[in-house]
Amino acid sequence: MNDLKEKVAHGVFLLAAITSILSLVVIVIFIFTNGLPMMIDYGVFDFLLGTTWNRTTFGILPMIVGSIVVTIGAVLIGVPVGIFTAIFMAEFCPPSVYRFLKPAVNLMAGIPSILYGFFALRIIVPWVRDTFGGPGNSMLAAILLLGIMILPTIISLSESAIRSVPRSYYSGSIALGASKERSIFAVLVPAAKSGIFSSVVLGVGRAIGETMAVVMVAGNQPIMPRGLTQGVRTLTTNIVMEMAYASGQHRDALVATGVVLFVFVMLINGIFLYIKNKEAK
Amino acid sequence: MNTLFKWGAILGTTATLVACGNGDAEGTGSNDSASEEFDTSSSLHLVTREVGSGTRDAFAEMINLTDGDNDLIDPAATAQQGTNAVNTTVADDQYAIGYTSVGALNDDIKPVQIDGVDPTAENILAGDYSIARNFNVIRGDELSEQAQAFWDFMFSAEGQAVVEEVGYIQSDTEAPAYEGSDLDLSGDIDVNGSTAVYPVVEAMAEAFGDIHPDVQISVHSTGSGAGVTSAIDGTTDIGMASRDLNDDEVDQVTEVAPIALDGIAVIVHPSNPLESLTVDQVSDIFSGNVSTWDDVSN
Repeated sequence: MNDLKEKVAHGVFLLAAITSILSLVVIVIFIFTNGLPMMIDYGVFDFLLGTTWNRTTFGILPMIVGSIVVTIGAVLIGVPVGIFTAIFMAEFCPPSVYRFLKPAVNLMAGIPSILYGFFALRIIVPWVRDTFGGPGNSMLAAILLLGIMILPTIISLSESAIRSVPRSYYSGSIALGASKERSIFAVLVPAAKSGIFSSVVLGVGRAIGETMAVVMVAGNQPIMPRGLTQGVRTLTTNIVMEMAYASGQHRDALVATGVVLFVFVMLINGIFLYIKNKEAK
Repeated sequence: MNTLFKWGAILGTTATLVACGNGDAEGTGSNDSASEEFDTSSSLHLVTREVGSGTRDAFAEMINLTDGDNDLIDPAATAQQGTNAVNTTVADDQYAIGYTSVGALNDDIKPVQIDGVDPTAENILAGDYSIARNFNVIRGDELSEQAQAFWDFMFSAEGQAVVEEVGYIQSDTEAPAYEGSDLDLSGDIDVNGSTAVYPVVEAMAEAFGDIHPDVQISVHSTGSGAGVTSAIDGTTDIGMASRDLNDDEVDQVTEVAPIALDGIAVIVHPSNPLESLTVDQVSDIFSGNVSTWDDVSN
């Protein structure tokens, strides 16, 4: 009887595991079988390095550069703010403030991206336009928006990384005569660096994959980025802008854009896993 | 070194906060003054719809900016998804110029005359306003009984009255009265396609629902391309397109007919002193050959 129960339970868990793995496999197969032939057919280099994108010419270099630049910008803004917030929350924050700060950060992570988009469209875009000139729908607006959107990921993960450093490190440092600040910045934070770094990597993943919010504020011009106050199109927004209308090779080119995006995400996850493994050793 | 790092962090954070605070204040300040003066030496901020949009295709065609499969609208123009996104962008940006459905015009944006003609229903019906187009509905295969009734309704006097209510121009001002009121209909009808045609058909569907409460009509705005494709492959009963079909597509559909007419208005910010443009000027502007507002007013 017990044996049967064991077997049934085993089966149920196995089924659950297979479902999630299978969906991943199906997605990978779909994206690659639809996208790769188009890339090869069109010419991989023409596709990846071409700078013109329209209904018959598919060069996605502007979007690759756009995604990378916007992500780097978001990291430059989001990482310092996020990590310092995490340090504050883990070490300096009075419990009364923490009671509000922690749920607030969690709430930030739960806000649907379309709402971030609305916020950026009404607040960030006009601000960029009035302060720096240009049309407002710009790379800078997208960077500021994504810089904010990656904060909760970076804050939560960095905070738990700092908290997971054994307390004896801190006590030891204090006992040796170091100040509180010095102990935190010279002992705790370096000890938590792989955790903090992986939070950054996940933040990068979120920034590069964000679509709906970015499409509202980025301007979406399919040409090489021309500056912070001018518009930009990312890989994700390229897909969402045109998928509804595309057919034939145009549609395949959008799926192939997805292949490139997928490779980026795999690279990011690879880096994340590498750091995790190093940490475990 | 560590102390330096710490102070750097504190200063950095403070600077960011202060910058944000100032920026907001300046933002509102210059916004207010902006609505009073218009600096003609500023560059034009072109706003366009995304590639594949029926409005964009129709507009490009009507201002002679097509070249085979692609239009010649400046790729550096800000691309916005959907009619409302274009309207909002132009309403917010003093130096923007865009284009939108005449039916979607509102008080926050200012339409420009084309060759001295206002984009109004009368002028479009009379054929005086040159940037105008058809709103088409498309059927692929046999229609179900209820879908056929809805199709007839769209071209009836009752259906055409709805067109006027939502602010577009009737394709048939002498349409016959709807004859199917006595039919006992039920079931589903699926309609999808152009985001521009959507509000017209949605309003018609509501009027139709008053007559036939058991019929469920779901209208989806998916874009003209998707509307044509799904009508052809049968995934929807009726497709909507805000452009005329190409020969290839006409061969594959059973019937395509206009339910309404729509003009495309060239729109600017209300503070813009610009009154009228010629089609050639519009064409020049949207191909990216005009850099500042000074060049337009002359």
